[in-house]
This record gives sequence, structure tokens and C-alpha cells, in this order.
Amino acid sequence: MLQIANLSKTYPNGVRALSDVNLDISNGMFGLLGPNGAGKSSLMRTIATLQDADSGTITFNGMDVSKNKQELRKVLGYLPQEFGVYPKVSAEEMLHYIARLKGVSNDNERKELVKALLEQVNLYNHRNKSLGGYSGGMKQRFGIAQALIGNPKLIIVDEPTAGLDPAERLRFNNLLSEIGENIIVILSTHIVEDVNELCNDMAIIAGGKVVQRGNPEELVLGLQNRIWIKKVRKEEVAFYQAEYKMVLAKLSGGMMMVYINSETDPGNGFVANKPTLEDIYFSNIS
Amino acid sequence: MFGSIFAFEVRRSLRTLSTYVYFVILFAVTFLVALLAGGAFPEVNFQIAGEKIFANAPLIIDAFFGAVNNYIGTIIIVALVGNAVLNDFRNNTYTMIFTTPVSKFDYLLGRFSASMFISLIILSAPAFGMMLGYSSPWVNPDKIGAFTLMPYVSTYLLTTIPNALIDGTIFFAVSLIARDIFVIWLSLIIFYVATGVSSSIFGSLDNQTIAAIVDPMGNLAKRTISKYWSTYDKNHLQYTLSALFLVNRLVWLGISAIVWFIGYSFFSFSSSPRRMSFRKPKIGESVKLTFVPSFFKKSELPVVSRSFTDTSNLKSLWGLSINECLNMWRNVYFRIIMLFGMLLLFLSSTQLGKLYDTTVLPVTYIVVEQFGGTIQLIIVILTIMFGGELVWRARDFKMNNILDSLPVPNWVFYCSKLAGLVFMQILLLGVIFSSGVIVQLFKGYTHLEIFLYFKYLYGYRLIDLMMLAVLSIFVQALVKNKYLGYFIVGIFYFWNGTFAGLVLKQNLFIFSSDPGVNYSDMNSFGHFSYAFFVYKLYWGAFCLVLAVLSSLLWARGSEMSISQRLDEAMNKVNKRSWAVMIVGVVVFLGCGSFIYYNTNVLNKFETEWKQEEAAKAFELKYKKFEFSPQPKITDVKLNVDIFPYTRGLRSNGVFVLKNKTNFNIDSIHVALPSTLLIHQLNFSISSQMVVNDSQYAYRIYKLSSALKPGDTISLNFDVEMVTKGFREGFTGLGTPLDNGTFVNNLSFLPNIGYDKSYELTDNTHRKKHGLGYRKTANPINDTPALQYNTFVHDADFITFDATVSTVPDQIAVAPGYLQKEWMENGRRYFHYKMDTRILNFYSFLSARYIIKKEKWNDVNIEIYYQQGHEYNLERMFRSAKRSLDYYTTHFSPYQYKQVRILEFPRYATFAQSFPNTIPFSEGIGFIANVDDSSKDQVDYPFYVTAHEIAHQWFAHQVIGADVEGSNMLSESLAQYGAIMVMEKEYSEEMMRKFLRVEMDKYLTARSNESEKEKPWAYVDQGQGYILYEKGGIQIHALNKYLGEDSLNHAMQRFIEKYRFQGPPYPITLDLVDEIRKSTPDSLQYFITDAFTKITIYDNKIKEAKLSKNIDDYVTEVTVNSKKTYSDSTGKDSDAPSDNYVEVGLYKSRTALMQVAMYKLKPGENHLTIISKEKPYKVVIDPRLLLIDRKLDDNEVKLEYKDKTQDKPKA
Repeated sequence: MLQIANLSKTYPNGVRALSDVNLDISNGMFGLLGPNGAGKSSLMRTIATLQDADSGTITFNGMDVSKNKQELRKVLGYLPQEFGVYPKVSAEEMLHYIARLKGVSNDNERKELVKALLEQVNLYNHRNKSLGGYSGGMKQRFGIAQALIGNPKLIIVDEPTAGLDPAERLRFNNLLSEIGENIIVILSTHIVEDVNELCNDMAIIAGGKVVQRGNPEELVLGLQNRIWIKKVRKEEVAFYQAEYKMVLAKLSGGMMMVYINSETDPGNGFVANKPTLEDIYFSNIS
Repeated sequence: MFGSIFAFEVRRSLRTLSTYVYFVILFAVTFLVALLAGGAFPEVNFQIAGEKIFANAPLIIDAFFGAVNNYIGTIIIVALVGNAVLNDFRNNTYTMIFTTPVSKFDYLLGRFSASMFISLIILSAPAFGMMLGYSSPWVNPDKIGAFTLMPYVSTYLLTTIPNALIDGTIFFAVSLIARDIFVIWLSLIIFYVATGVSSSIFGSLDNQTIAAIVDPMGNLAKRTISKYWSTYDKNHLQYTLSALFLVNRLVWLGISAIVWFIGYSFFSFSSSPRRMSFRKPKIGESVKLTFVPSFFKKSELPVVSRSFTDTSNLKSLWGLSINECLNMWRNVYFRIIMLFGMLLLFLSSTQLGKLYDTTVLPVTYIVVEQFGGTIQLIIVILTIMFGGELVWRARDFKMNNILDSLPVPNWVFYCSKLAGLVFMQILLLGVIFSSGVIVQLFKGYTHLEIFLYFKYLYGYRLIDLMMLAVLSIFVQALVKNKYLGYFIVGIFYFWNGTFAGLVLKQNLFIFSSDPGVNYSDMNSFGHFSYAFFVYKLYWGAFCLVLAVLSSLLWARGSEMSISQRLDEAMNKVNKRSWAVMIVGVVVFLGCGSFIYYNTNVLNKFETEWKQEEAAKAFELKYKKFEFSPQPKITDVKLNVDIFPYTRGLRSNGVFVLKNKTNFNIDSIHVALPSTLLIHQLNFSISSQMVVNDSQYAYRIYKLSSALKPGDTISLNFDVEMVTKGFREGFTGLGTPLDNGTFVNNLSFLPNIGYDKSYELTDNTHRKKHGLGYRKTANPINDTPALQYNTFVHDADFITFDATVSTVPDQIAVAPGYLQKEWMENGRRYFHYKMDTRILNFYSFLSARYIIKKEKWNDVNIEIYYQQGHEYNLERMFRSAKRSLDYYTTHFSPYQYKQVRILEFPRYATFAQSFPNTIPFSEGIGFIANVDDSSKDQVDYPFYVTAHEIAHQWFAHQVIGADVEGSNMLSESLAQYGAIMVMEKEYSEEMMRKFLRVEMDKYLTARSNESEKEKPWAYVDQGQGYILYEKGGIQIHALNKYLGEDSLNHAMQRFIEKYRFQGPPYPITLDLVDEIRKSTPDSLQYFITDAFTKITIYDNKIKEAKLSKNIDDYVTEVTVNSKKTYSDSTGKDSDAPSDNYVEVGLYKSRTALMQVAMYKLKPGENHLTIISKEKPYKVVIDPRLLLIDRKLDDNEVKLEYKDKTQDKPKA
């Protein structure tokens, strides 16, 4: 059980990254959805012991994380949003290195583990290749492999699918879906689909605040019969924006499709639309 | 386009904090240095050049600027210029820039010139630092000349800018070609070292011109300009862009431009550098694009045990360390550096311990020390550089996000980095070891001392390097910019090695310092190890504290200010680290107190300033007794017990004192070294001690009845020298040693009367302490001073009898002949007695000697040496025989029946002549490697032996009075003997080599004279360059001008007249008188020039033409002759008279064919020289008889064109 209470963080340059964040996260895949710059990574890094909050606490199974960083690190698997690799070091070597640092000190066990991990993430054939030459997808798979070392109880994956091609993304999500049992996996992403596919619990974060919280399906149910759409011309969008509670406007065959949130039928040519998680996302961040 | 790139980059740099930090630090450092040099802290005696040279003399400004540029400036240039383009790759901004229409030229030139521009602004900081320092109110006005802006500007323009450009273009070009910061570092190291090596290889006199051009920083070129500058010149002249300096600048700027364009042409707007390898890249199997679903099964991952106990942490530390070491080992650049280092060492092995261009044998300690010195800079740079790279590696490669969140305690990270760094040092020391062994074997030296290598390299050297590693990681762990880290460590290292000692005085405050360790074959590591390891424990504990701090404050996570890290460090999980730190602090303080107890309580520690204050107080208190009549010692009978292992010495004995004055003496002054224990001191007449000044161990005894003229009294004493703990500084000779004790009577026996050698002699220092001007010597016409000889005031010639004891396996030696040797109470006794009277100056030696004996007529020649040092015994014997031969034939009979040469440890490198006893340093001669096949290597074991044996005549037969000039009678005349013996034994060529080196030494040294240069006949005791170098050249010249026999007859008459005479003692003018008697009128001017003037020639051959006249060759020469007299400050004035000068023809490059003396008028002279054989070159003053400021224009190679061949063939 990961409890985040009243977490706030302001960077020295004045950016307020987190503002009174409260979240209780239990086992399973937790999706943290939010636009770029919403504070997702700040939150992830704070949980991953890489930075401290100005105020508030993070408790993991009753343990105050900021005071017991080392203890948390023992149960943590972390795939950062952005990470580099040493050139001229192979995946196998690097996994060995990290496994060692994660306390897998028995040589044979470590060998077994690294081999299994490489096989599981489909990198076994590339194990001797320098990490510098990995493609984006391979690099992310390597990233999840290293995060999985040491049977972590808490896994944080920060925007793992950004920049992956659809096939890689699919494969990566398949992989993620396998690991979410019995442990907490926090997946931060700005891709609504990811959360849809993987998470049973989620939060939407925007401007450093948690703006929506719940089970994705329940959240979608909450918008049942409330999303209406209409195709308009580009120059009309401003008008609709002013008149209605607009969720989003997106291109559709040269015209704009306007989504609005309304409890009643707005008429005026709007038709009801089946709500999706995307609607939740946009209605919360707009 | 160029303009906007330039402006953008400059603006960007100006917004960067580090730009200002560099500037401010450079400014502050030079400001401080200027204050130090300017004498703002009178207690800090910082001298860069002679005392009379202003701290802001153009030369000094240039030197500071140059040093800053060389050592610290390069780091800035690497940081700014080396990274100017690399940053675009690191930040991935290249993708945007390379796709804009900017031209490659604009882009590169923009980046280069902007970074160069900023570097040059930063590198101007020293000028401002110095200007402010020198014009601050704290400096000593005596040290500061009038302010002029010109030297700063010209140094900046002629030195700083070109040198920075050279560095900059090299680093820039390398960065373009390799796109790797390591390669830049590599190029920096190669650049540094190549510069150093080229200057040492081209360092010999013959190669000065090449060296001046080859040295990229222009220092050697500048040296050729200022080498012989007088003090006056140094204060007033500045380097002008002329001659070699101009050539140097042009050559190197040209090379820079070429390097720049090579870099430029290599560079292309592509993401990867141009491939430098010839291997074709293998085409890998193409990646299958078909969709492979993930079949990830978490349950299939093996369950592994994890542990986070200390044991497993240690285990992972081991693994990580191995990993770091492997990384280091696999680093291609590091391997290149190691290979390069080896190459360098092989090159430098040709220069092993050179003295007069003669190397020494590759004995292990010499190899280790010299190789260690050569490669030191590489190890230091690599330690600083890899220290940064290791700490910043994770962050540089953005691996820190992953690594920082792993459950590893900081100390594991920290220790693994340290291990990697130390491993690198071990490898580099291994380079010394392996190259050393290879060089030894290659040179046919098979006495391999592998264990000594290990002790030296891994026992002593590694400790210091490890401390630097700890420091380097510590700084890098704290700073937020790697280059700032390099800069800080670099400056600190520089400071620590130079100014720290001057300012902080005690090793207790100087990071990683120790009193010094000096290995000697005789005394091994001696007593130094103990103090060394105590100091290393002390600094090791300090480093432990730094290490714990580094690990506690290890940067982890994405934003970690120092205060946040401190908070983190306070976390109670770190309590063990704090405990370790407390242990460190406790050991540090404990050792510190122990060291303080040893150096300041058990032994006296005085800064130079305090010592000078004490000397001042002594002078003020007791100077009044200088001329109070005192008796002189006439007979000495001694027992001296040497205790090598406890490093003690006890001596009791009797001095018979005689009143040689015309006055009644009612009180006797006795002075002793103040560290001595005085068990007994009394006179045969009852007396009362009326003054007992324990600070100086100065005592005055009032006799119950006055000593009448001609009366004698005896002084009984029992004194002891005790070694307690260890001292602050290096203690070598002068105290008993485990093996190789060499002490003389002045260090432990009573001195009668006021001893003016305690006085503060340096007049600049006297002024600082408010003391009046002190003459550097008594004037030559000071009649009362003729009563005393130059050695000691309290005796003339004495009888000598000494019983010396030591441990059973050592032999103890004192002057005199061995009467008896016996064992008693487990100690070995030797009784020595001299049958003639000797000077009151004698030595005691004790060591495990091997003795080799030979005979010359009825004189026994004995060499007492360290086993294994047999190499040059034959040369020494031969020299001794030739010397005895020459001196007895040409000077006077030898007064003893024996000559003994005794080896002593290399803590000092000299030989010294005592009656029939010549202590001779292990460091000179015994391990010299004279190559007899080479004609221009000076056989200095032979030469030094001859010089010392000549002292048995000049000093021990004839000794001068205590007035100016007298030292010439011993040193220059001993030099004469040595030169004559050498000239008979060795080739013309070797003599020329020798004299050339002496000439250069003289001319260089006189330009550093701190008081005033005196003519030969008035020379001061401290003016070695006149006594030895100029003296040797001139007396050799007299020999040639007057003829060997004439000069030797004069010497004979002089010796005959003053042999064992005194008081009154002779003065130099007595010798001059005798020489004048043997000199024809035409050459009297030459005697005057040599003895009473400072005469310097500038002869040269303007042109020479060779033609053939039936059978003979005719050489027509135009020579230019110029003679100047120099005043004591080095100002010259022309001497208009005619002079005799030799002009000679060579038949080959080195073989002199014929030489004749010509009378030359000042200015141009035309000579015609006829020779039977075809001459190769014509040389003015070929035998180097005259002091000539510029020797390379003294010869012209002759080209003979056969006229018949010029005619067109019909």
C-alpha cells in the first residue's frame, strides 16, 4: 500500500510541480495520466527516492519513504522516463551490474536471472550488443528488465511507451500487463490508451494536482450520456468553446469535431457519443 | 552568420556561472601570488628570481602568466574550446544546427572563436590579479618596481594569446576529429609530456636553438633571450618579439593553423565522426520486422536471493570495483596513455641522472625516481581527470536515473569509484616498474631489485597518489560542474606543491605531505620510513574523513543542493558513516598531536623567519664580543662514540688552547650547537660560568686567573648528540645514520669565541629584520682578519688524535692514520692519529664499508665503499694517481702517506676534502655511467676525485685569510688541479665540452646574482659560480696564455711561501703577485682582467674564405673582437684596448688542427691563416679561454671551391 499525503513541491525556478497531492495506491496497475509538464515525473521521481518533496509524506506499507530511502530502494523497480546507457556496454553486462547493485550477490543466481530476463524481454539474441546501438523499443525492454530485477514490490514506469512504434507499444504493454499482479505498478503516461488497456485504477494529474481519481471503467461510466459531438467548421470552434463546456475539438476530415460535456441534450445538431477515457482525460485537463 | 553564432555563444558563456568562477579564482590566486612575491607577508620567503629582482619585473610577470596558462589555463581551454562543438553532440542540439543552412566554416569558426574569446578573457584575470596585488599597500616597496602597463600587455599578446591559441586549436581539432572528450585529455597529456620531453632531450647546450623552436609554449625561446641577462636587465627589459622567440611564435601559430584546418576538414555535419578505422563495418543481420508478441511470464523468472547485509554490500562492492577496474582497463585511451607513458620512459632513460651529459647507471632507485618524476604529471592529470569522469559518468550518460534509485548505500558507489581510480594508479605505477626493468636489462644492468621497486612504488608512492584520488573524488562529489571540479583540484594541487609550504610552514598543514624519504643504497630507507608513515597515517585519517564526507554527500537523485545532501547525510541510517568519520577525526587529531609532539616539543621547530629572528637576537647580544681576544685551539684529543641505530653520538675530549694574542685573556667564550646535551665542560684553570645562554648554547667562563700571552689552558668536555623522535624537515647528513654516518666537528664540538657564521648574512633578509648592512666578507686589506683562516676562527693548525667507536659491523673513520683497532664492550674501536698539524676541521664517518686499496709510490690510496658500488673505483684510483703525480710534480710534495675516499649516502651530492680523508657522495661518481667511447662525456668521477685531492694542497697546505677572495685560493686552485689532470688524461673535445658547460653555468648564475658580482680576486665565499666555473675557466686560460710551466712555477713559489703558514694567512693578491712575476709585460693586462675585473668578451667570426695556394690552404678570416668590463650589477662598458685571442683551424668537426694567438684590436680584424691540410672550420678562441657571451657565432665552416672546377669544361 502506497500512501501519498499532502505532497507538495516547488522547484527553485518557481515552478510548482506538485501541489497537495493525495493518493492511496494498492496492488495492481495504477495509471497516472496527465499532460506534459503536469507533474507526473516529479511525482514519480519523488516516489523513486530521487528527489524530496517540500512537504507531505509518502508511505509505503507503513514506512516513511523520505526517511527510509534505502529501504524503499530495496523493493523498488524504476524505469525512468529518460535514461541513457553507457556506450560500449552490452545489455547483459549492464543487467549484471544492476543486479549486483540490487543485492543479487550470488553469481550463479544472477547469471540465471539475467539470462531469464533477457529471454523474457526478447533481448537474448541482442545480449552482447552494445546498448548504445539499441532501438527505442529494445531500450525500453531493457529498461523494464532492469526494473524487474530483485522481485520489486513497487514498480514505477515513467512514460514508457512514448516514442515507441505501435507494435513495440503493444508488445511493451503486453509485457507490463504481466507484471502487475500482487505488486504496485505505477504507470505514468500521457497516452490514454495505455491506461485503458492496462490499469484498474488511475488518477489524472494536471498542474501538479490530482484532478480525477478512480477506476477507468467507472470513470467512463460516470460520463455515460454526457458526451455530445458535432462536426463544425474551424472558425466556429471559438463560438462553441464559449457557449458550451467543451471537452476537446479535434480534426476530422478537414472539419473540426467538437466534444462537449452536457448533462442534457444540448440540441443544436449535437449527437450523443459513447464516452471514452480520453473524454475523461480532456474534460479534466481543459 | 558567423557573427550571430559568435555573439550567441559569447552571450551564452556570459550567462554561465562557471565563466565568472574561473575568472574570479584565477584573479584571486594571482592576487595572492603577487602579494607573496611582493613580500606582503615578510615571514613567507617566496623567491622566484634573485633577491634584487622586482616582483613585478617583466620577466616575473611573464613567468606567472606562463605558469597559469600552462597548468590551469589548459583546463579552462579544454572545458571551453574542447567542448565548444562536443556540447552540441552531448545535448543533441547538433540535430537542429546541422540541418540549418549554416556553413560548416561559419559554424566551426564561430564556435571556436567564441570559446577562444571567452577563454582569453578569463586568462587575462592574472594580469588584473597581479596589478592589484602589486599596487596594494601590503607589498614591500623594495620588491616592487615602477608600474608600467606594457609588460602585462606584451606578455598577454606574446605569450598568453599565442599559447592559448596553440592549446585551443589542438583541443578543438581533436574534438572535431574524435568527438570524444577522452581524446582531448589524451592530447593534452601528450602535449604536456611531449613538451617536457623535447625540452629535456634538446636541453643540452648544443641543441638550444632546436629546443627554443620545438617548445610550443615558447619558454625555451624566451630563455635563450634572457639567459644571461643581468639583474638590471631583468628589472628593465622585457621579451621582444625577435630572433628565436619570433621564429617560435610563427612556427607554432603556423602549426596551429594547420592543425585547425586538419580538424576542420575532418569534420562533417553528420551525427557520427568520420571513421578512423580501416575495418569495414560488418553488416548485421537485418532486424525482422514481423510482429513478435510478448510472451513475458513473470512467473518464469527465477527466484533469486537478495541480501543487503554488510557482507553482501562488500561483495557487491568487490563486484563493482572489479567492474570499474575492467572499465578502466578496457578504456582504449587509457591503454594508449600507458603505451605512450612507456615510450616516454624509454626516451627519458637516455637522460638518466645526467651530470655534464654523463648518465648514471640505471640503479633501481634512480630509475624509479626519474621515471616516477617523468610520469608524475601523467598520473596526476589522469587521476584528476578520471576522478571526474568516474564520478560524473552516470550523470553524463544519464544512467543516474536508474542507478541512483538502486538499493546501494552511497559508500559502495563511492568505494567502487575510488577502487577504479586507484587501480588506474596501480597500473600506471606498473608502467614505471615494467619499463624500469626493461630499461635496466636493456642497458645490461642485471642487478634487479624487484622488491625495492614494489616498496618504492606501491609502498611509498601509491599512498600519496591515493590521497590525491580521494581529494579529486571529494571535490567532484561536491561541485556541480565537472570542469569546475578539475579546475579546483588542479589549482589545489598546484598550490599544495608550491605555495602551501611557504605559507603554512609545517607539514602538519600541508595536504598529504611528509618530511621526505630518500632511498640510498647505503642507508636504504633509513630512519625516514617511520616519520613518513606517521605522517601518512595522519593524512590518511584526513582522507578517511574526506572519503566519508564524499560518500555521505554523494550526489544522488535529480536535484541535490549541498544543503539537501547535508540533510540527507544527517539521516540516522548513516550513523555508522559518522562513526567512521569520528574514528578518522580521532586518528587525525591523535597523529597530529603526536607529530606536533615530535616536531615541536621533542625537537625544536622554527620557521625560517623565527630562525632569522633568533640569529638577529644572537647578533645583537653577542656581536660585541667578536673581537674580544680569545685563545686558539692547538691540540685536539677526542673520543667519539657513534651509535648508528639510535642515531646518537657521544664525545669527550680535551682541547689545548693557547693565548696567541698580546693580551691577557680573562674570560673564554664557548659556543656549541644548541641541540647538544652538555654533560661536562670545564677548564684546567678554575673558572666560573658567568653567562649560560641555553637558547644558543653560548657560554662565557671567567677564569680565576687570566691567561697570559703564550700561556695554554685545556678545555675538557663531554657532549652528546641525541636523536629524539622525528623532526619537521628532512634530516640526512649531520646526524648519525643507521649506515653511512658523516658528521664533522662543527656539528657537535665546542667552538671558541664568537662565531659570526650564526649571523644573518643575506642583506635583503637583514633589512626585513631591521638589521644594518653586513659586508659579505672582510675587505681584502683588513689586517686583523689576516689572523684567521677562512675555515675556522678558533684555531690555526692543530695536532689531532681521535678514538672513534661504532657498532661491530661498521668501520669508523676520522682523519689521521689508524694506530689500533679493537673490540670492547661489544663495540668496535679505532684509534686515529695525525702526525702533522691539520686545520681544525675534521670528519667522522661510520658505515659497513668494503675497502679497496692501491698504492702510488709510497702513498696508500684507499676507497671505502658500499658493497655493489664497484663500478667506478678504477676511475677514482686512476684519478688519484694522476692527481698525486701532477700535484707532486708541479706544486709541492704530498703531506700525508695516505688518501682515503669514503662513500656517504646520497642525501647530499658533494665530495669534501678533510686531511687525508675525502667523503664522497654516493650520488655523484660511484654510480656514474661514463661511456669511454663517447668523446664528449665528462668523466666526472675522475674529475671530482682530482678536484678533492687537489684540496689536500689548496686548503690543507695553503689556506687563505678570512677576507674576500680567499676561497678562490682553495676552490679555484683545486679546480685548476682537476682541469690539468683531466686535460692530460682526456681529449681536447671532452675538455671543450666541460669548459662549455662551465661557461654556460657561470653566465647563467651571474645573471641571478643577488648581491653583487665580484671580480675573481675578491670573490665571496657564497659565489660558487665564480669560485668554480669562472675560476676554472680563467685559471685554465692563464695556463694557456702564460704557459703551463710559468704558471706552475708561480704556484710553486706561492705554495712554498705559505705552506702550513699562518697566521697571518695569505690573500689572493699574494698569488696574483707571484703570477705577475711569471707574466710578460704584454700579458699583464690579462692578469688584471682575470683577477680584478669582470671581463666578458663577445668575439665572433664575421666571415671566412678558403683558397688554395699551390701546396697550402689559405684561410682569410674577418673576426670581430669586443671586450667589455662589467660592473657589480651587470652593467657593461666597452674596454677599448687590444687583446690576445686565439684563432684556430679544425680539420674536422671536432679535431683542432692548429691554433695561434693573435693580437686583435676592438672591432674588425682581418687574418690570414696558412695551413698544410685542408681546414674544415675556423674558430675564434677554440679552447674556450675567454668568457664569451655568445659562443655559437665563434666559428665558421669553410667551404672550399676548387677554382678549376668552376670553369666550364671545354
